[in-house]
Amino acid sequence: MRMLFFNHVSNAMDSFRSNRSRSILTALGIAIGMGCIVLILSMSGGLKKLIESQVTGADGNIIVVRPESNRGANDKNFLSVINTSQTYARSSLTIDDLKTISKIKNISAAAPLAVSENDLKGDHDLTAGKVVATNEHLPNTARLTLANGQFLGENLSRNSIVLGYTLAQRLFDSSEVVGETVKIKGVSFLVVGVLQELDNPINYNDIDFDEVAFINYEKAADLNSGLQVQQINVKLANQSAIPAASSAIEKNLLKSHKGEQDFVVLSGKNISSSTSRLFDAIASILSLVAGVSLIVGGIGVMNIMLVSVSERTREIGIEKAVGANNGNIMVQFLFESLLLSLVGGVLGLLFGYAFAFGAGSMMPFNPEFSWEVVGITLVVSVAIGCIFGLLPAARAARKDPIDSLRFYR
Amino acid sequence: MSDKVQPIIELKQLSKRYGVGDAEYLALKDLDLTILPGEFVMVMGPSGCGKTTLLNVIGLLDRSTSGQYLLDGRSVERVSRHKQARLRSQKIGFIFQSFNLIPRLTVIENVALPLVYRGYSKVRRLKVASNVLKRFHLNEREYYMPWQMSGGQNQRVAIARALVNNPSIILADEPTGNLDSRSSHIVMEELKEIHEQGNTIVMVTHNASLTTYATRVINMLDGQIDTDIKTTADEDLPVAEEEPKKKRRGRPKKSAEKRS
Repeated sequence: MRMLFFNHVSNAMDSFRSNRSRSILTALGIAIGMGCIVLILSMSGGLKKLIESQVTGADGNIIVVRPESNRGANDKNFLSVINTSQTYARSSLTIDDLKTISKIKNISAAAPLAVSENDLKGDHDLTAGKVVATNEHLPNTARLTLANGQFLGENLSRNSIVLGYTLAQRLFDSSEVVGETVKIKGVSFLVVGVLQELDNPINYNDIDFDEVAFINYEKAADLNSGLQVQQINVKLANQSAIPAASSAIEKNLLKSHKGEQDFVVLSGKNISSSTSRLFDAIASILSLVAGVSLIVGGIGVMNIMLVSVSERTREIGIEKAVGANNGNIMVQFLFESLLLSLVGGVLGLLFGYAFAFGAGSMMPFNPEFSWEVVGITLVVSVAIGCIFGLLPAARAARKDPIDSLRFYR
Repeated sequence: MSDKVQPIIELKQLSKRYGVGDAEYLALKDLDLTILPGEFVMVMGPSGCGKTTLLNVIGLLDRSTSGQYLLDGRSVERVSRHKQARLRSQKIGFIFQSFNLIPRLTVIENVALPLVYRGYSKVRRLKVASNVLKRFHLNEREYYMPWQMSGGQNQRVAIARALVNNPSIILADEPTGNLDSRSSHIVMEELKEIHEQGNTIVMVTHNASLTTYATRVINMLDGQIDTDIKTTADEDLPVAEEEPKKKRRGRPKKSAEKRS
């Protein structure tokens, strides 16, 4: 039996070689579909990794508290991530919650995020600019660094403002703007700092920090009567304190919210899980589309195998006459279709990763190489080879030896 | 040695029907035939008399519609396809009019092909095939492709292939039909030689001049045996004593001794 296996393998390779161009074209059909899937999976994998690294990377000791309705959409419906923080008609979080959280032990910093839209007046005017109301702990909890000046602080005037890098460019055509004045609703704010340009396109705050201005929460609450806290970022003293602190936050907030679970406490990978789920969903839909091209490729394999079977009718007759049984013939042709689709799968892996890493060099993130994808690709190609090789192989096996021997072409 | 030699092939009341209803036609009609070890049987007759059908049924490529077929004493007319294939692989060697070598394989690979289905390793296959080819003085052409050789050489390769797994019986369907007279002669000499080494051969032919090689000539007509003549072409074989069956007159003592 083992000898037969080797014989089938070498037989399949012989036949691949003897019809080289035809075989390669057929394998290419599989390779294209496979390549697309590999490309999609590696890209979405890279993207997910990037998102995760935003929260679990160097400082994974972050907890995020967000308002959340009772329906638990965060668990099931990935579309909930499209609800940005501003979508909530009424955030359930308040500035009092921040105070509650700050009192919990092991918490080194907690910062609110409350976004309002205001017209900003600098050298140039900007309508409906985003203003984030927060406190001095934000840089610590959101990994922000300053290009110039300093961030908001308790010792500074309440009328201080910090600009995101791009916003500074917009208002003043420069990032060297410390000491300039920005007017919001007629109130003058002194620019005390400008953030460094950020290179993370996606972060867990749902805000592009390059495009916003930061002011003190209390001041913002004075200016905008309906200001709401959309998120509270919490930084812990160390990573091991996360589980304890999470449950403490949960317990204390539940108490102050009178038992209503209208918030979520997220840590580690969970912070990005809803976003990751969205990417997973998109990747699986795209893969499904690419899967259609795999079916087309599989039909190509079937087609060429049917041609091959009919071309070799006489050979089948001879093999049967010298002692091959139906099973031998069946397996022989199955191995051929398997080889075709495996070659296609391997080519697809190479193409897919080559393209992904080529394109990745022009993108803000690197595609992810994973053995899982390699495994999936190989398993899928074997499956395609088997499924689409079955009909031709069965047809070959069922051929009548006498008719086959009489067959001339 | 027992007095009664075990026949290799015993056909009793064998019929083969093709088609149904009005189109029904019997290729073999209640045919009785017994072939003993060491016989060289030639089957002759006009086209369509059922010669090839007989050969196919004996070679287990086809099934009889009714009747009994004993191969080496075992009833095989109703065995499964799988078993048929195994019996073909173990007991039967085929030689065809059109050689039927696989064109993409070399000579030695063609000869080794039957051994694939016996589960031999590649090295062992090629060794055995090479030995057989040596017997046919083709060992210098082991790595030729079939199309690089003459028809006569191809047929000798096909004979080597038929012999490679030591079959009980060799079935040849007009092995000289595609050859010129000189090649025919060479091929027939080869067949004669392997017959002299004790092999049993059943050969279908149209060429009456070849009957000189046979120990027994059967003429078929309309799916039945018309005449069954024991020839004296092979002087080495003594004429056997009278057997109860009317149609079997030859009995090769020499090879019978060898086998029993």
